[in-house]
Amino acid sequence: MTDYLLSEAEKTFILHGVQSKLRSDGRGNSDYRPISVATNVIAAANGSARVTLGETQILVGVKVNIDQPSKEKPDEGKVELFVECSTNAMQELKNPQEKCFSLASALRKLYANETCFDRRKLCLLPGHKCFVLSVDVWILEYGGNLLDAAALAIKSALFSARIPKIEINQDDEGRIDLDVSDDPYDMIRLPVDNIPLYVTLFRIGNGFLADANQPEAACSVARLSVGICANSRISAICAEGGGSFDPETITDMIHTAEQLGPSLHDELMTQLEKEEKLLLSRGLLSASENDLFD
Amino acid sequence: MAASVRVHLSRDNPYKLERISPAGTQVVVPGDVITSDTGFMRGHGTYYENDKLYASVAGSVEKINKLICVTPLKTRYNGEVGDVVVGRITSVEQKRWRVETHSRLDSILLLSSVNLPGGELRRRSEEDERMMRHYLQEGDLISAEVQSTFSDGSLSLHTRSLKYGKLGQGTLVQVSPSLIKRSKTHFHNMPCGASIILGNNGYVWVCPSINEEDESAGGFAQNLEKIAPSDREVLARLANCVKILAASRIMLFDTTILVAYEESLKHEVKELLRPDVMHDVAQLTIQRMEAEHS
Repeated sequence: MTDYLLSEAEKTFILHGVQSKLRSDGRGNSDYRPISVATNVIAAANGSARVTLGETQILVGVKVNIDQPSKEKPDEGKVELFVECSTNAMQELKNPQEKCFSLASALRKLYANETCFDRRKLCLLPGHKCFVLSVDVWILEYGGNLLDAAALAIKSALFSARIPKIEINQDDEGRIDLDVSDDPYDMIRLPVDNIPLYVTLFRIGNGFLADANQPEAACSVARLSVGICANSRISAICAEGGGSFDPETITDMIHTAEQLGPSLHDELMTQLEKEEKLLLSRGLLSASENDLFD
Repeated sequence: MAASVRVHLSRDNPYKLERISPAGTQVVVPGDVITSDTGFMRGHGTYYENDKLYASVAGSVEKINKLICVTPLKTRYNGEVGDVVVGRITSVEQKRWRVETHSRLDSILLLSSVNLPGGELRRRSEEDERMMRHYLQEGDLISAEVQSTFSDGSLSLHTRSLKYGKLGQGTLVQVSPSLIKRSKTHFHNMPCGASIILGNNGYVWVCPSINEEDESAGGFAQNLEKIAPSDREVLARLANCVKILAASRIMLFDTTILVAYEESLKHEVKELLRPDVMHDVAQLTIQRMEAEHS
């Protein structure tokens, strides 16, 4: 995945670590590095979040605009997702542009299913007006396991997103009037309960690791990313890397992902709700709690 | 083994370390005026403008008699003759290897500066040039000493001693060079059962104990046998302690590392990655070091 050089002895050390289930930083094969999250970090965006996973840092901004829905899907809103790399991270990645594209396509797959994210909720007036959610993902620093960190950041940003309440009035002549509420605190939120997260498993030798850091990722020839919802249902699977998988290994990996996924969701949501209370108490957030679908 | 996932809030980070700074330490940022007195000689990290001495780097001011210099907090490695460094081979060229040592320019290891197998002392022939890759390849880690500096500031390394040479299995931790205390020896055999090499360039190598009688580190044969899980745990704990000391900007030398190791014993190795545990160990280390000094 990267140009990260390792000596044969270091690779052997990591390989034996996977076999002994004790990694070079003391973690087991399924342990994640400490994750830190902060939302509402970009004042100008409707929603934002910054996630640090070990050395990896991802920043996500969510902005909302109004546009016409596409002709093929007139009753659905749009979601646009783009991934960009900071200059700092570009130096660590062998092919940053390619990496960004593959990351973006893997992330889009995650929200493609309508059970995970129902685009119809983003529609204001079928055939005429809909919301466009622009999700911009910035890779600030690369330290292994970008996909998991990006998915965590996107879910956090969507949780924190506040969209102004808009009333649609269509008069007899067919003119559409969009009325934004006068109250600046009249906001609606996005439903994030079913939004999935990625759990990426890196195959090293005959075993596999969750959340590999840079040296471990450099030893891994193949990885499987499983998109998991909070209820353990799988929404997407991507495989990357030039190596191959044993069919048994794939089953084991999916099984591990099904166990790790709910823990990730629970921990993240607990902390996000805690932060929301903290921000509300400091007066940094509005108090209205309307859901998108009522 | 139950997998662990931990998420915490970045806003929730009131970890401040209590330490006694030596009286009169002045911390400056680039552009700060250090003094308007023209009687001082200017050292590294300073510049004169309009009869005032300014700092050009961010760090602490050091006054040694009439010499004022600023030691930066975070810097690339500036090599001095006689320093011990840990470096990674990035390319094999004609009669020399290019070594990455976290300096501004790549360091060079000349073919004539290494010990030939068998310990022969002879002129290097063409065959030796062709055999270079058999000895050191791209990605290999070496410990070496700075022999001299070229006019452009890049370093010329040598491994002309049995204690230097290719490194085997272990973990590399990268810290800022300003945290490595200059001492008589940089190779330490820790009583906990591991060895540590504190490279002046900020690269710290943690490996299993080097037995003096068996084979010297300058040899070619690398021990690629599996390391026992108990030894692995010691290595992981040491590596995590070094990371904790570096994150809290505590000077790295054998005493601080040993104290941090002892204070970390009450936690599990993988718990040492958590920010609250890191803070706890760092604080206890500072307290013990200050107690021993007063």
